[in-house]
Amino acid sequence: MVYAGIDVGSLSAEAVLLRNGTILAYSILPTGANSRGAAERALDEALEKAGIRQDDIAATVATGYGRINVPFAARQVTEISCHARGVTHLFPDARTVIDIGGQDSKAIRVAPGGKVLDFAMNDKCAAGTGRFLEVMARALEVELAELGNLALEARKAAAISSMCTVFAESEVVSLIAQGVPRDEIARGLCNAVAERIANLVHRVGLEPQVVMTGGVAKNAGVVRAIEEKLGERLVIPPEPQITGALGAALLAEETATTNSNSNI
Amino acid sequence: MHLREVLAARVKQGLKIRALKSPWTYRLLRTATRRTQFALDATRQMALYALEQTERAFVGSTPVVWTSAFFPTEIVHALGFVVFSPEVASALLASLGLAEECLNVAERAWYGRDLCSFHRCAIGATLKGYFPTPVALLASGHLCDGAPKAFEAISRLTGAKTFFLDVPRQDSPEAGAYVAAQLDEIGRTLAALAGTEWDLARLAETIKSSEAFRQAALHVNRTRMAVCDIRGSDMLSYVYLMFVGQGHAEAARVYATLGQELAARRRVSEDERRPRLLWLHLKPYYDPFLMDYLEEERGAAIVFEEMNHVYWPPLDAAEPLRSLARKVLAHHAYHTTSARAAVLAELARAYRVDGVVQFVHWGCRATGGTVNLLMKLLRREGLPFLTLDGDCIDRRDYAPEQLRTRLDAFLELVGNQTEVV
Repeated sequence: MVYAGIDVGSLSAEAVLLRNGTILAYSILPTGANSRGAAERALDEALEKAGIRQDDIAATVATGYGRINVPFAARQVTEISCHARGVTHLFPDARTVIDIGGQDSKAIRVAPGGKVLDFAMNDKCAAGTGRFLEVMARALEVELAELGNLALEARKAAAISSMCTVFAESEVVSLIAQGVPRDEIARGLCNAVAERIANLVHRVGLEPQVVMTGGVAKNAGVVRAIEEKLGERLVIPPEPQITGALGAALLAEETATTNSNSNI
Repeated sequence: MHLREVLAARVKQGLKIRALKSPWTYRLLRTATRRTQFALDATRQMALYALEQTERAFVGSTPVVWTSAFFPTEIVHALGFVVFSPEVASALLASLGLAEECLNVAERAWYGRDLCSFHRCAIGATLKGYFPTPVALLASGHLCDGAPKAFEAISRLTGAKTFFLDVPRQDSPEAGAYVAAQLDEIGRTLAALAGTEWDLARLAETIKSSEAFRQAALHVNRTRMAVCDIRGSDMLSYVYLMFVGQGHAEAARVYATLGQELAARRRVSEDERRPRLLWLHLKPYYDPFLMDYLEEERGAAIVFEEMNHVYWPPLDAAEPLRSLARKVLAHHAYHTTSARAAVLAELARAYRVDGVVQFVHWGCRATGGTVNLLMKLLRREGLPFLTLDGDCIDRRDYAPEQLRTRLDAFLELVGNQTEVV
C-alpha cells in the first residue's frame, strides 16, 4: 500500500509517497498562484519518480495553508501536527520542533510518538519567516541560498532593529549605504530571525532534542544563530522541506490502518 | 431582507445622522426585526429592546448617558435616562462594515492604532456625529484601563461631563462604602444635571429589576450546562444586555425568555463527542468566521463564554448602593489572575470543557498582560489553552487563514478528529 502526504505552503508545495514507513519518492515545487494546481503537480512529479500511478495510492492527507484546496485528499491535518509526526518518525528523540516556512514560523513541543503538546506561531506579520529572508536577500543583492553562508563569514553582526519586513529592508539599504559589510548585515538579519524564533521556542518550553524543518533550515546562517540563541544544537533532517508532507503521509497510513482494523 | 442588511443600508445611505434621528428608520427596523428569523426568540426580543433604546437615544428628549463596560448601569436606569455603550456601538458598527471609516477618522485626529479599537472607533464615530449626544459620560477603569482616558477624550469632543468610578484593588467593607458613596454622588449629580430628583426608592426598584436579571441569567447559565445545540456566538451577543441592560425590567424579561427557550432544547447525550470549549473575552465583530468555523465546520461546541458569567452576589433592594458596590468589586477578573483562573477552572468543570480559547484583543492590555499566567494556571488544571491574537473591531490586520491553522491545530491537540470538509 502506498500513502501520500501533500504539504501546500505559501511558497512551496511538497509531496511524499510512503510505503511501509519508507519514503518511495518526494517532490518540492514552487506553489505559485494556484495552490490546487501545485498540489496536483507535486503529486504527479512524486508519482513519476516512484514509477507508480495515482490509483496505487491508498489514502492521501493534505497539510499546509493550501490543505483545504486538495480535493483528492481524504483528510486535512494542520502542518503543526504533520511536522510533529514527520519529525518524530525521523528522530524519535525529538521533543522540540522549529519550523520556519514561507509565511509563518512555529515552535512545537512534542511527546514521544509525535503527539503535539503545545505550539506557538508568529503573529501579526511575516517577521522571522522565509519571506522576510527572501526580501532581505534581494535588498543585499545576494541569492537567498548564499545569505546564510555569507552570514557565517562575518566576524560581527550589524544591528537590525526592525522586524517589519518593509522597515528592515530600508534599514538594510541604509546600512549598505553606510558601508557596513554585507556579511555583517547578513549575520544581523540571521540574528534578528533567530531572536524571534528563540522567543517562540521559549513560549512552548525548550526541550532537547531540537529539530528544525522548513526551507529556512537550509540556511546555515540562521541555523547557527538559532543555536547560539538557544544554546542548543539543532538537528536538521536530510531534506527539511518535506517533513510536513512526510507527517501527512504517515497520518494517512495510520488513519487507513485504524479504519481497516475497526472495520474488522 | 435580513435585519442587518436593512440596518446597514439605512445607515450607509449618506444620510446617516438623519436616518438615525428619523422615527421611520426605527419603524422599518422593527418590522424587519419581526420578520427576521432568529435562532432564539429571546434574541428577537433583545433586538427590539436595543431598537427601542436606540430610538430613545436619538429621537426625543430623554437624557442619554454613555457608560463604559462594567459600569453599573442601574444608576442610569434609576433616573429613567438612556444607557448608551460606545463600546457596544463600536461592535455594531464593525458588524455593519462601518467601523473602518470611524477608525480612519480617529486616526486622522491622532488617535493611533495602538489604542483599543473599541475606543478608537467610538472616538471616530463621535467625530462623525454617529452617536447620540450625551449629557454625561460614566467610566470605570477597574477592568478596562483605556476607558477613562477614552471617555476623557470624548468629553472634550462632546462637552459632556465625565465621571470616573474609582474602584479599589482590594475588596473590603471600606472599599464597598467608598464605591457606594461615589455612585451616590454620581446619581445625585446626574439628577441635578437633568433637573430631576435622585430618588433612592426608584433606585431600589431598579435593583429589584437587576436582581431579576441576575436570577434569570443564572438560570440560563445553569441550563446551558446540559444543553448542547446552542451556539456560543449567539450567546456572546447577550453581552449587550450584560453591558447596558442591568437594572432595566425588559432586559430581565429577555433573559427569562432565553431561559425558557434553552430549557426546551436538546440535552447533551452521553455519547456526545464534540470538543467542548470555554471562550474568553470577545470576538471579531466584522467577520463571524472565527466562531462559525469552530462551531459549524469543525463541530466544536463553545459551551460557555466568560463574559456571560454571573460573578456578583445577590443584590438587595434595601441596600441599593452597597449592593452595586459589591457587584463592582466582585468581578473575578479584577483582583488577581490566580483568582480569575480559579473561577475559570470552576466554570471549566461545571461545563465539562475540553479546552479554553482566549481571544486577545490587540488593544487590550488587561487581557494581553495576563495571558501567560492564566495559561500556566489553567494548564496546571489539565486544560489545553489557546490564545488567538486579533482585533474585535479593526479588520485591517485580520488574517483568517492564520487563525484557521491555530484553531485546527488546537482541535487536533484536544483530540478532535472532526474532518474539515
